[in-house]
Amino acid sequence: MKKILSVVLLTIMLLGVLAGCSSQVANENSANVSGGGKSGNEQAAANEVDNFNEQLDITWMVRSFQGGGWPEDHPMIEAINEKFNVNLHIQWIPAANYAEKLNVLAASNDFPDMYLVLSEEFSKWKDKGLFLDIQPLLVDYPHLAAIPAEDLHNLNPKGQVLGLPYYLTKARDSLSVREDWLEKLNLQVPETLDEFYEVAKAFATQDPDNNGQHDTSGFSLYIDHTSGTLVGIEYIMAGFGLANQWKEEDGKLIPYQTQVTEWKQVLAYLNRAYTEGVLDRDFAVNKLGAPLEKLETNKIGFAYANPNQYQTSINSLKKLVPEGNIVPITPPTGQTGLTGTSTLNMLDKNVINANIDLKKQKRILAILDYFLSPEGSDFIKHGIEGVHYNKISEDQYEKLEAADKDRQNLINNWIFRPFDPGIQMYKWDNAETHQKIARMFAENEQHIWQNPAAGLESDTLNKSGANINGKFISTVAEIIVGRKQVDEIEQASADWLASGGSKIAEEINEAYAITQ
Amino acid sequence: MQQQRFSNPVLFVKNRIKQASWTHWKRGIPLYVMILPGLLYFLIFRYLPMGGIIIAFQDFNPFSGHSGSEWVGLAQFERLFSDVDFWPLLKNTLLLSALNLFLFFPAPIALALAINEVRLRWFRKAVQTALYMPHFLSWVVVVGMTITLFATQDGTVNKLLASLGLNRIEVMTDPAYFRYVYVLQNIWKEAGWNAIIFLAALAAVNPALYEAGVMDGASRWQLIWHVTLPAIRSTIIVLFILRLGDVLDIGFEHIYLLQNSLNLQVSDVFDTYVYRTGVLQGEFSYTTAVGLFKSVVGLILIASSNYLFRKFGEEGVY
Amino acid sequence: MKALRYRGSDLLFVVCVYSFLLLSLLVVGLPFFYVITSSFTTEHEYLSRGFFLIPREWTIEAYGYLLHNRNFLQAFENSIMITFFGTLINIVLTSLMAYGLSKSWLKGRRLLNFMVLFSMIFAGGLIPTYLVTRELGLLNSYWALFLNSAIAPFNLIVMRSFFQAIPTELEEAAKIDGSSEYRIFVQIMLPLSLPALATFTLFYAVFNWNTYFYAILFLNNSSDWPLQVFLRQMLIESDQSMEADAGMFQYTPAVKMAAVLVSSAPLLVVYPFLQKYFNKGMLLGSVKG
Repeated sequence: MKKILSVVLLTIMLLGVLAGCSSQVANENSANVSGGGKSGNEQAAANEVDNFNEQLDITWMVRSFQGGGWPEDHPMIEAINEKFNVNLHIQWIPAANYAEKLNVLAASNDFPDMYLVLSEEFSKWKDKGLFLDIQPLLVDYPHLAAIPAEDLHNLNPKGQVLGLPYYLTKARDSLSVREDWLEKLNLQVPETLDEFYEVAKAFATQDPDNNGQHDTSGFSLYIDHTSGTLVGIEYIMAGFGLANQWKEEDGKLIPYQTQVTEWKQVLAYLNRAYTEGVLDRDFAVNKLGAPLEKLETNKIGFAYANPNQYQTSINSLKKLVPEGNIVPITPPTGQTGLTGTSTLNMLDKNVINANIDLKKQKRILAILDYFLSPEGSDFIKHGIEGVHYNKISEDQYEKLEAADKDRQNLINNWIFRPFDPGIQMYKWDNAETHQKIARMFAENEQHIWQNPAAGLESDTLNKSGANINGKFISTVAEIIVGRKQVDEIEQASADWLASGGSKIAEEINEAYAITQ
Repeated sequence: MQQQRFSNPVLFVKNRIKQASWTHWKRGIPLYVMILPGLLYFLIFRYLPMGGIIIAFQDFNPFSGHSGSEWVGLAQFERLFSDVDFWPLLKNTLLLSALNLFLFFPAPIALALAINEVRLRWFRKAVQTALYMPHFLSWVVVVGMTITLFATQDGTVNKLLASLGLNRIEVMTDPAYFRYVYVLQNIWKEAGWNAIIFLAALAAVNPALYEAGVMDGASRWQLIWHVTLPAIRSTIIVLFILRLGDVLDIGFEHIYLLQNSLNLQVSDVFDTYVYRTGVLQGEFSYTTAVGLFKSVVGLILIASSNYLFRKFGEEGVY
Repeated sequence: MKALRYRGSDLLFVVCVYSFLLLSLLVVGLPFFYVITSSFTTEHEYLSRGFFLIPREWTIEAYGYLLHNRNFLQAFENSIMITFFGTLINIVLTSLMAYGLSKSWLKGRRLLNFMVLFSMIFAGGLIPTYLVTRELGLLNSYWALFLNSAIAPFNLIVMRSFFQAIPTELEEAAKIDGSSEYRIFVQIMLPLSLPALATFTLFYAVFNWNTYFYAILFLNNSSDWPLQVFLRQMLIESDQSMEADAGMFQYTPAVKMAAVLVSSAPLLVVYPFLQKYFNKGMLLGSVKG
């Protein structure tokens, strides 16, 4: 037994050395490439205007969601290939495995010419010389230069643009209510959180769907137990004065886990809601989309809905309840007049490989610039005229069947797109719909609930953040369902600080100070 | 064996030990040739990458590689063992594992024995096929279906209970139910599939043994106990030992999908912990260190159980 | 088998066995039936009704949709390729090595057995596996999948124990006739271990059919990916796509369930054909014959 073990261990160690050597060689190779990046030849090439004479192979790694990406002979890719004289190879990596793939590529230094980097990796890797600094080149690309400065420079080192952000409508979703339920029960749209509670309670107890059963509730929520965040009740949390993860006070950032007073109010509210059946009793097993799904299937009265898909939501509801309807409402105000709404962080970046030929880099920039131009953004959204849509008259268009089959808008949806909330307003929709959506975005914008620390790096946050946040939220959930007392949030808050929270706060504040 | 090998005593006496061992080797050559492709596979694709385990002793940075990363000794292990979560994690993991061993492991054996007793061929086939199917449903579907059935408010079962005036059962969120839900789902999804291997072992049992048993007037219970079970004993033992090696592996995807904020205290295991603290963060060193810890525990359990089984005259796994 | 006569008191036994199996059939069958029927329902019925066995409104829309989806069909084809060739490689390498290791007189056998076992417990991890594959020039080729999972240690160990369980009389008889090890293996041992071969062919086929992560890792071209990538994106990613406006392409629950069923269909169909090898008596016949 001993002999066997020692033989095996010896073999492993030998092989380990071998593996170490081979990866070292790989790294040295890549170091040479990056070292050669600033030779005189390339400087000369930098001043040349690229007239697309030379055909270039471009590899591009992106994140894909349901349905997967396009095949290589997709009409959209062929159109881009032709226009820019390139041979585009898009690698569509499933979002769930994107971070893993990225890290493996890092270890083998196998990066594609252009790729998406998630915010965490972006912050960790931005000083490694991997990403092309676009700042000096921006003058030639007016549409890229026109990206709002705050978004363009966010997370980037001062004076550099290493990554171009993937646009998100920050305050996208609208808190919505079942209009027909309000009418049926003769209720007004709630304006304060107290009124909201009364309306939600009526939804739960007065049988708004007229089926004689107590099978409806007021509202629901979703808990991401991996990262430790509550989703879907941002209006309640903000209304009681809780911050979106971090609160700015006198130039310092304070973690919301320490806002014990506010938490107690929120938890007392939610606990009462749970006990009285106002809060969906299945909230703990909800998936991300569940609250909206429950709104669409006649189970709850309030939920966030995405304006871009508002009509789809209404249509699903109408299949079940022909007279059903949902309308957006202003987030109810808390006792001190505070409001807030679900707010996303625009953190993921598209980067260009710093170690490839300048010609390629410029070609990629030209393509990206085109995507943001009026012509290009029309192309990535609507596809090709005659294939994906037809022009009927000056301002009338019709969508063709091929659009649904080809999913012509994947670049617009998943990769890179103009900095404009209208990303999902199609020219074949009617103008009225567009106005309705625009109004919702404008309304939400007024209640934006920013996380001032979004994207800031902290080593401790990386290492134990998810773990201690998860525990904190677990206590929150237990208090909501009444397994623990509201006061026990004090202990949870203290535990959070003691098991790494105060270190995180320290590090986040350091990182924050640099950006100020 | 010994007697066959040296069946010719004259030859045995004549040859010196050296020569004997040479003929012995020679006799094995065809077998070594058969083993060789597999051996190469193990060396290149299993053992060569195993060198990567050294990153458990480093603070691995993907850009510096194995040679450039800082050596930190046992720091990654210290981080694991000093984590306040370590003991709760170990406890949760071991309890689930124990339930798996005592409930989930025997289930396919019982199933295979029962199927083996069925004489109606069509029924036998139908049962086998039907029980085999859930293996192809992914955990997302299985857990999703369980929620549809057992959610507190909208679950079919709880709706039924409520309409009968009974209390709702919080199957998905009450920590008291979690472990049983987990192991029952395992059985539901995999018992039919895992029974295949035992059915294959049963197919190799010599029917003459049954005939002899019947002659002796054994009942069918007794036949199972005295003929069938001993015949597949070695298969059971091999699978049991191998199963022990995975004692800290609980099946990440399954548990991750079942986990929620209300059952976290009992559902948090090493795999979900390392997913949160290592995998999502690209912390390769920590992830590897936790994996190595799990492997060492597995190895110890396999080696000691293998030793014990060999001591009782069984073949074991090596 | 008909020659066997059992005592009357065994009736109770038979009743027990049948009711146990009928119960399992029910417990497993009903939820599975739900998966089947929900692939034939409309979205709002699925979402609003909870658990049901018979839909009010039948539709085969989901299947029509899937069978016209180019990505799905391409992935299906890839999976069949990967499974067929992958399993072939698996079963050849595994049975050869398992047979070699099954001879207890073979020198060095214990070390090799331990090596196999050890590699089952200790794995190098993602990055070194990727590096080795890359150094061998296997990236972007199905060989990366075939070779990286050529032998599953678990299957090898169990298969070896199957070989060991085969009575040695036949082998010895053949040896006296002067047959070589190779002939014994191909002409005697393999036919004798058909149940084991069928079992592990199935195990490997299912493993290859479920290939997911290695495909994403080693193959850059998504049109080379197997079905599981498509399927998982369908089933899992809808939970994570909050920021991507990916909702434009949310599949309906019916399509998801239909995809689950269609994608496991080949293995469900194959099973009954392999099943006949699990029948009793094969060994007896050959030993006596």
